[in-house]
Amino acid sequence: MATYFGEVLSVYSRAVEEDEYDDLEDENEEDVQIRREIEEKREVQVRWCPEVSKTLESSGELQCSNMIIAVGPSAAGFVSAYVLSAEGWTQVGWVSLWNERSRGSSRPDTVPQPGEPSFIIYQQNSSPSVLICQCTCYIAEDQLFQCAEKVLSSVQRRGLNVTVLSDSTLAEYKTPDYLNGSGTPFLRALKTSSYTGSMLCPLLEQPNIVTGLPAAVLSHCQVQRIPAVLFQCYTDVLHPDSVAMETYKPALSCLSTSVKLEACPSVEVLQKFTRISDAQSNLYT
Amino acid sequence: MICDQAYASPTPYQIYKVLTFTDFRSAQCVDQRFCAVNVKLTVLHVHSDFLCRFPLSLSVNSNYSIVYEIKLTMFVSSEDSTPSFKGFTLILPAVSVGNVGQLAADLIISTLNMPRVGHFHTDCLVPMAGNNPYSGGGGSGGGAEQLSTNAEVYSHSDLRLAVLQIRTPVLQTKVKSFRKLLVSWIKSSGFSRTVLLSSSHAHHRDDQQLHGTALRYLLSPALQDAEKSLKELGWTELERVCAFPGINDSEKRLYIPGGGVTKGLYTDCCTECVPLAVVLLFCSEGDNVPDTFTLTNHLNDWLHLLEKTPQGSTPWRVPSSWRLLFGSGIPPLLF
Repeated sequence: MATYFGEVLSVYSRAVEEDEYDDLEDENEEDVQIRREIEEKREVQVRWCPEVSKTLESSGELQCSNMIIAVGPSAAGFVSAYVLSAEGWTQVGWVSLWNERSRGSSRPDTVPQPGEPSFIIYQQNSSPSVLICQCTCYIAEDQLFQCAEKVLSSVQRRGLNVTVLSDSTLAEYKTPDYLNGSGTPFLRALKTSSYTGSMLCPLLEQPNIVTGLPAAVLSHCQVQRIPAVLFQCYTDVLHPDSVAMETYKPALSCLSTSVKLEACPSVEVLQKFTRISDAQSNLYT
Repeated sequence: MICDQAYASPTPYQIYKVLTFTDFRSAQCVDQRFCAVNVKLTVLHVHSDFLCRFPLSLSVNSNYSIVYEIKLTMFVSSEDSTPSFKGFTLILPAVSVGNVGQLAADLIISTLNMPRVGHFHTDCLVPMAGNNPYSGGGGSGGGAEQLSTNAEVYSHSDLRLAVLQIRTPVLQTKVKSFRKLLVSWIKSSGFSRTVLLSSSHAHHRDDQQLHGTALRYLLSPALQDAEKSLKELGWTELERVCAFPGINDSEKRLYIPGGGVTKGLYTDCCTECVPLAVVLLFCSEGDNVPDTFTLTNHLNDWLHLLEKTPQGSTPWRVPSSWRLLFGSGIPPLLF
């Protein structure tokens, strides 16, 4: 699509070819079989550690007062550096899924290795009703709905509060003013109708929208009337950096009674989560 | 034998749990309460992942297998009670070329100040969330802070009108089930007629379609009585095109390239006896705002949603979410 100024925007065609749909009409038994197998392979599964599975079997759902879902490199890095390193957290489960970009199904029963893209669920030792989901893997469009549904349906809905932290590039943010790098990174919020807490940052302005797992989680919470709030960080740095991570700090301040934040993580800890952006080798290192 | 006593008054949430923990595809019983009966389950009409509402019935047939039917709906009301759409006209867009149908639905909701009455919660659409797209300028249903999702239903009881706005594309593998669910929702809600706003690739028009206006309509057999009034308005029906041009001119087919779900939904409504009108526009991708006004004005000629001003124009109100269609502000240093 070309704009008034002649530059070409990379907008994918929204038109849908009808022929592709026609193929679906006259599929035979084998096609159906293949389709079903693919669908089964792409199914999202939440896997819990033995203790939690036992609780789930007996009571059907986990007690949960606060669930924090961190999606994207900066948000996940923030959770690792500021929250998970601060006090006792235990990994209690993970989400196993397979798609073109996350081929986790070769060993769906093994816990993801540290550092590899994953979707891990942590539980606080001192207060087991606080859960943190840390998502760094790619979730395909057709798996998002299922993913949100599966994770949230295993916890008790009554008394549940959901906080979603997510990140996005500044290029995605639309504003009538010209944005230069000086005001970044910044937070914008979205909340469901049943969320009554105070807002710590401005609401996401129209015509900006969120997609992906944060959108799936918020939609689920809106429909199920679970109080949920999303903090989206817009940053102009591609990789997780300490400045972007720090912007999330106020977002969790309302949970300060249940989640303790490391006020100032040490350089080593921060470096561990920002190192991926270091140049692997160049003339000067 | 009906044995639904155990489900005399389950909360919607309990049923929902049953859905989540039961593997319907293999029709094997996982839920404890079903295991107690100790018979094989045969499941009818179940699409997992959808919210479940009443009624739910469970029965044992002569082969000692349990047959149970769960009526599912993807419509989730914003209020505690489900609004009645009996006798209403439903307008819904097809996700098609230039998003013309979706933009037209936006224009109608924004102008008529329609409050949101519910969400359409389905796994067939790509998830999306944002704040109220119609806020500002006395927008519908309050201020900016209203979470809006990928598909929502807006209603205007005086006009007996409901609009289903679909904001994201349908997942390729779920087109069929999406159509099925739409048709079942339309049927169960009791809409008197449904209008599908759509568009089709302008560059695919054949010789006969190139004549005259770019607007076309299609009516399902159940809505044939509307034909007379449409003919009086001078509307043109969408021409069938030759399946094999130049070789065999007798075999004609319905062809709506770039129309997304349009053709499938139309054929479904024809077989299911649903009164459906398709109103479509031939257009191309680009700035489709002018196309949207063309389509909406055309629809207004038929449905009389909005009175024309004495000058002959229709005062549509553009929603706030249409701003910045071409990206953010321009760096001031350019000048």
